[in-house]
Parts: sequence; C-alpha cells; structure tokens
Amino acid sequence: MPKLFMLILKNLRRNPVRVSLTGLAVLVLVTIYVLIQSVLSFLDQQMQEKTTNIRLIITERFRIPSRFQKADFDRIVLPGGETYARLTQLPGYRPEAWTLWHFIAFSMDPDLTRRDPNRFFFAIATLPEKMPTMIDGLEGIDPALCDKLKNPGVSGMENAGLLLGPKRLARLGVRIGDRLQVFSLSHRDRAGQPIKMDFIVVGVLPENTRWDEAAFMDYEYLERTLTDAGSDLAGLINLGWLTVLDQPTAQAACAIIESQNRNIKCETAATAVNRFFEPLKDILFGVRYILVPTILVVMAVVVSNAIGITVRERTSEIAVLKVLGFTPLQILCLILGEGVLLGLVGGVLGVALPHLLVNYVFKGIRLPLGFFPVFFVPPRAYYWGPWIGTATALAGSIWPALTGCRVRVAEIFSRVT
Amino acid sequence: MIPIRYNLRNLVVRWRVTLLTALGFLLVVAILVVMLAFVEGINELARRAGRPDNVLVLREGTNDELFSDIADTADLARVWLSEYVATDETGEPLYSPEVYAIATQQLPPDPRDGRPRYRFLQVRGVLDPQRAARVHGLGLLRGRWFSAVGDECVLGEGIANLLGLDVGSRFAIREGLLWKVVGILDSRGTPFDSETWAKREVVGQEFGKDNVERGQRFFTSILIRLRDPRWASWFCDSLKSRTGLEVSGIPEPKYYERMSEANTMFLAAALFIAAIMAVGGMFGLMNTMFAAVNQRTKDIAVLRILGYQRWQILLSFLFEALLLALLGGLAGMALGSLFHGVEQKSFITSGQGGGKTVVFQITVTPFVLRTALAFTIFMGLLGGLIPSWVATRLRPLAALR
Repeated sequence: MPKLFMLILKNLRRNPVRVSLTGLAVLVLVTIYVLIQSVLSFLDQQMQEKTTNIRLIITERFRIPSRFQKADFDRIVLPGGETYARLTQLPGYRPEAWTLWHFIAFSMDPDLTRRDPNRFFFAIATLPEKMPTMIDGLEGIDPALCDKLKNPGVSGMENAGLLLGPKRLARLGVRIGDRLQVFSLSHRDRAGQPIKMDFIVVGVLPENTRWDEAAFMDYEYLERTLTDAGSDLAGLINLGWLTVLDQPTAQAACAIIESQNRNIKCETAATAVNRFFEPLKDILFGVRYILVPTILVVMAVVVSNAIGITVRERTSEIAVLKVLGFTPLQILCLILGEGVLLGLVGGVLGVALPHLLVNYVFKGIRLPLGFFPVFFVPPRAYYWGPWIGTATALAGSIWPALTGCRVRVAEIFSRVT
Repeated sequence: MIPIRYNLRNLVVRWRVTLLTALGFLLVVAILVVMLAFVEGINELARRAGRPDNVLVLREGTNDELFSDIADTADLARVWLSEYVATDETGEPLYSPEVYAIATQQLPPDPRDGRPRYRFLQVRGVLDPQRAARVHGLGLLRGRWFSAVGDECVLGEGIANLLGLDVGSRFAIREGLLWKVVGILDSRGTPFDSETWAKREVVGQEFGKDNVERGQRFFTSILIRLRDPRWASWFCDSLKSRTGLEVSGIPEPKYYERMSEANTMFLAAALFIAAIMAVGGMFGLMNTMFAAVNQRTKDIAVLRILGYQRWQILLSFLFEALLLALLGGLAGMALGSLFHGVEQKSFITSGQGGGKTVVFQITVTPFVLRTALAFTIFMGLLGGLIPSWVATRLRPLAALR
C-alpha cells in the first residue's frame, strides 16, 4: 500500500502543470461550494426546529410590523398575572429567560429627506441585563459593557448609552465616548415632529457576528422619551422573546399565551424565520438543487478530463505495469488515487482559503437576506470541503480509471515499433 | 495561415476530450445565463412598475410604504389639489390615498402538533377601487370592483392562483373577518400581483395604524397622477414647501427602482459565482490545450519548418481554444435560455426591513446573451493563451527528435 501511494505521488509529480491546473480548478470550485453552503447551512440552522433551549417569539397576531402593548407582555413574564402563573407550572419553563425589543430608526441628519446610509441606523431598544443570555450571536458579551447602556458614566445621560456594531461604528464615523444627537425617522411626538434623542457611544459589539451593523439601546430610555413626547408608540413593543427548555414546553407555552390574549401570537423562532423566508424559497431551491449540483458536476468533469488525458498518455506505461505483475485493481487504485489526492488537497485548500479570507479579511459574506446581513464560513466547513473535493474527484476519476485498468497489453505492444 | 480544417479535425479526432471540456463550459455558461436572467426578470418588473406621470407621496423620512403613516387631516387635500394634478372626465383630480399593510393570516392548525400556522398577505386599502386602479393603471381580469357595503375584496392574479381562490370564494383574512373575492386584478408582471385590495377603512383599522379610540386615521401613501410626466421631479421636490406638510414625494418608477436595488446584490453574487466557476472551467480548458500541444509537438515542428511563423501557430491554437469554448458556451446559452419565462417568486425591498413579495418571470434578454457570449470568448481566449504561447516556444528540431 505505501508503495502504491509513493507511485501515486511520483505520477503526480511528473506533470506539474496539469496537476496544478486540476488542483486549482478543484480549489476554486470547492471555494465557491463552501461559500454557498455556508449561507445555506446557516439559514437551514435558523429554520430548523431545535430540541433544547428553544427561543419563542411573541408578536402581534394580525399585522407586520408587529406592535403590541408592553402591558400584555408583562402579564406573560412578570409575576402576578394569570398567564405567568400558568407558564411557571410548565416543567421546562424558565421564568427569567425573557426579553423585549422595540425597533427605532434614527438619522444623524436633521433633514430627514436626506437618506445618507452613513448617517442613518436602526436601533433595538432592549433590556441591557438580558443581552448576554437572550440574543443569538451575542452570547458571552461582557455584562459590564451591556450595563453601560444604563450607566454610560456621564451625568445627566442616564440610560442613554448606545452600543454599535463595528461596521456601523465605522459607517457613522463615530468613536467610543462620542455624544450623538439623532432624529427619529420612525417615531413622532404628539405634534407629528421627529423625536430628538441624545446618546453616548459606550462600546462596540463583538466582531464576526451578524450584529456588526446593529445598534442597541436601553428600552427604559426609549420608553421614557416616547412617553414624554406623547408619542403614539409609547407603551408598545415590537417583539417579545422567551427561552424554554424543550419542544413540549414550547408548544404548551405558546398555547397558554395565545389562549390568554387573542391579539398576540407565540411561535418558535424557527417557525417565524421560515415564514419570512417563504418569498425566497424559489431562489433557495434553485441554489440548492441547480447551482450546487452544477458546481459539483463541473468539478467532476474537469477532474475526469485531466485524469482521462493522463491515462491516454500513459497507456504504454500501464501495459508495462501489467506485464510487471500489477493487477487491474492495483492500476485502478493507482489512477483513482491520483484523482482522490488532487480532490483532497484541492478540497482542504478550498476551505482554508475562503475561511481565512471571509472570516478574517472581509469580515463576512455581505449578502443581506432578511434579518441576516452577513454570513461566515463555519468551522464545520473543514469537513465539507475535503469530503466534497475527494468525493467529486473520485466520481470524476472512475471512468478514466476503468479505461486505464482495461488496457490490453498485447494491443498496446503491437503498436510499439 | 494554418488551415482552420487542421483545428477542426483535431477537435473531432480527440472527441472525448473535446466533449468533456465543452461540457464544463456548457454548464458554467448555462448557470450564468439563468442567474443573469433571474436578475433581469426582477429588473424588468421594476422597469415596468410605476408610471412616469405618477408620484408616490410618503411621510417624510420614510422610503417604504410599509413604514409610512400620513395622518388623514383636512390639510392633506393640499397634496392633490394642484393645477399640476391630472383630472378625470368629471374634473376630479386623479389621486388615490391608500393604506398598505402586511397581514398575518391564520391558517388551519398543523395536523402534526395542532398549533396554528400563519402566512403573510399583502393588503392595500383604497378609498375608491375604480379610481385607485385607474391611477395605478390596472384593470380587472374578471369579476367586479368591491362595493361600499360588505366585506369584499379583489385579488391580484398571482396571489389568487397561489391561494386557489377565484371570484365568489371566501377566505378568513383574520379571525372573525371573512372576505368575499369579487374580482381578480389584471396584474401579471406588476408589483400588485401578490396584493389583496379592500376597503381603506377595514384595512386601516384591522391592519394599519388607525386608532379608533382617538379617532385617528392614517394613510401609508397617496398616489397622484400628474398632467405631465416632466413635472414629476419638480412636483416631488417642492411638495413639502408647497403644502407645508411633513410629506415627501417620489416618482413612482423611481420608487420601484429603489426597491429593486437589492437586486444589484444578487447580480454581484451571480457574477461572482459565475466568474469563479468559469475560472474552474478555464483551468479545464488549459489542461486540454496543454495536452493538445504536447500531443502535437511534431506537428508544430513540421509547421515551423514549412515556414509558418510563431504568431500563426499562436493564432491557430488560440482559435482552437476559442472553438472549444464556443462549442460549450453556445450550447450553454441554449440550455440556459430554456428557463426563459419560468415564473419565480422573490422579494424586493427598500432595505428598511419592509418590502414586497413579487412574482416575475426569468427573462433571457439580449443583454444576458451578449454577456454570456463575451464571457465565453474571454474565458476561451484566456484559457488558450498560455498553452498557445508554449506551442510557439517549441524548437522545431528538438521537437522532431
């Protein structure tokens, strides 16, 4: 076996141009496969129901954008209400695992007709103390950083902290410690005028997360400002979040919540994401079942062509090997081995390259799809790449390898003059 | 010049390699055509959407109907009471105040777990359906417009097909609200194909931002027909100063153009994927051409001895590479073109989180075919260049030995 492997290596070294070209072809095709698969697998993960630690999303039942009374949500998550009492009886219910979101769009430009993307941002008003545990992708964020939303350390600016994603920070051209005056695009005061708010930039969200264009603020500050301004949106929230232990609890909790209040709906986050992606199902189907298989076929064809040329050039050699006692199976393995090795090496490099470039140089694949603005190459791609490179190269090498092992010695030598 | 027949014969003799290399190109070009045609389909929809003499009025600061809210006050008439606004036969200005919303429709429970299921429906509430349709430039495919009484609606053709509804059908848009379908919009190829139109009051109260307790009514947009499309930009720019209201206007075609700007992202992604795949295909072509050069060193030597110049050898091999690429590329263009007209569902968005579901057709335009052809030629030449150059560097005597 080691001898056969050495022979495979020697054969590959004999035509460095062809080996390099085929390897490069596999590399670039595996690269594009990995990029596409990274996006698809992330979306699949979001749309697939989990079995433990299930996120439930509570929204207004009948319309988008969802807006409902915070008081209704309080009845679910705060002690004292009937809904809360029933929920806490569920074995997998976690009374402390909840948070709320209220979206608000701001412009740094008082002239709201100018829509400069570098002066504009969406903020999520939430409960700072719940951020480390209740926001997917921000697990492990420093609680002290979140606490700065409440206590920015500037007198007279209580609760006015603002956390920005690294990309948003750069776009707005601000730095930590800067004070911003912003004007609401989505919320108006009682006179119909934009609401003015002041913020202190207290920190940056972690890099390489889907929150790198986001902004978080303290819900308490927003609610106080909206109430003072007499806004119609005071006392309302857009979303409520719960986390429960398992699926049976999730189903039971949703049933309880919906039976207590017919104006809100409760569902798993996966169900909600699925519905939002419904209009993109055609595109995702095309990518998954037309584009990806085509990439694999092109890869197999390129390898097949290269190995086929090699076999045709070496028919005399193969005949000599047969005379020397090599069995057809060994010759088959020899040829397949060349293809597989090329596929394996191309596959490994085809993952390493996009992983390093996407995650560390370009900071993600920027393809805003729904709530997911950026995608990363996951570490598990190191399984897909080599596997797909090897399998496709193997598939592409089978036909040339069979041709090679069927070489007839007498026929070949009859041609030698 | 070296006869073309020489290259053609070589491609025929090495038919297996020729076919495999061409197959690689075929697949890459076919995918490129489909992806570009997909983007063209959405662009075509956006191009056709909106009349140049229509202006869409939104609340200042918003660029998506979904997030706009214009309070219905007496002052609002200043928006359409203008000498620049077109009028109908009776002298009434042509405008349509509307409420656009996305409703969450509850579906029958999932039989697996008994939990309710939901889907989004785009709803547009209009004051006068006939007037609204006239301003939008839409007609009815069948049925009639909804009347002032009863819970009636008309559906876009696309959504009607999707939901399996037709004139006379009834469906519950929400709990306790049963709508009767009285007409189907002739909306194919427009952004209204996935919409349900109903009375403004119902949509405003059930799905919009109306506050019945406070007596507040809101429109999300007002569509206005101008007498002359050349006035559209001026009308929009001067709207706020003329009316004194916190509103902004945008020419309707520009609104949909902006909505489809997200498509540039799909276009960039399509070109990136196709380019990377083409690089893979090009390496395959280079392999083939290097093998062809290796196999024909003696031929090249003889040609050189016969007096053919290096550049003629270069051209001959480049031509062969190009032929190979064109063989696959043209077949790929033909294969990709088979997808022309296939209906697709997608999403156009202003980027604020709103947007519209649209039904459109994959459209293979001359631009798509020209791009695919240019792509094929470029990749063919690029893939053939180095092997052809190597062929010119062969020393005739050494090669013959």
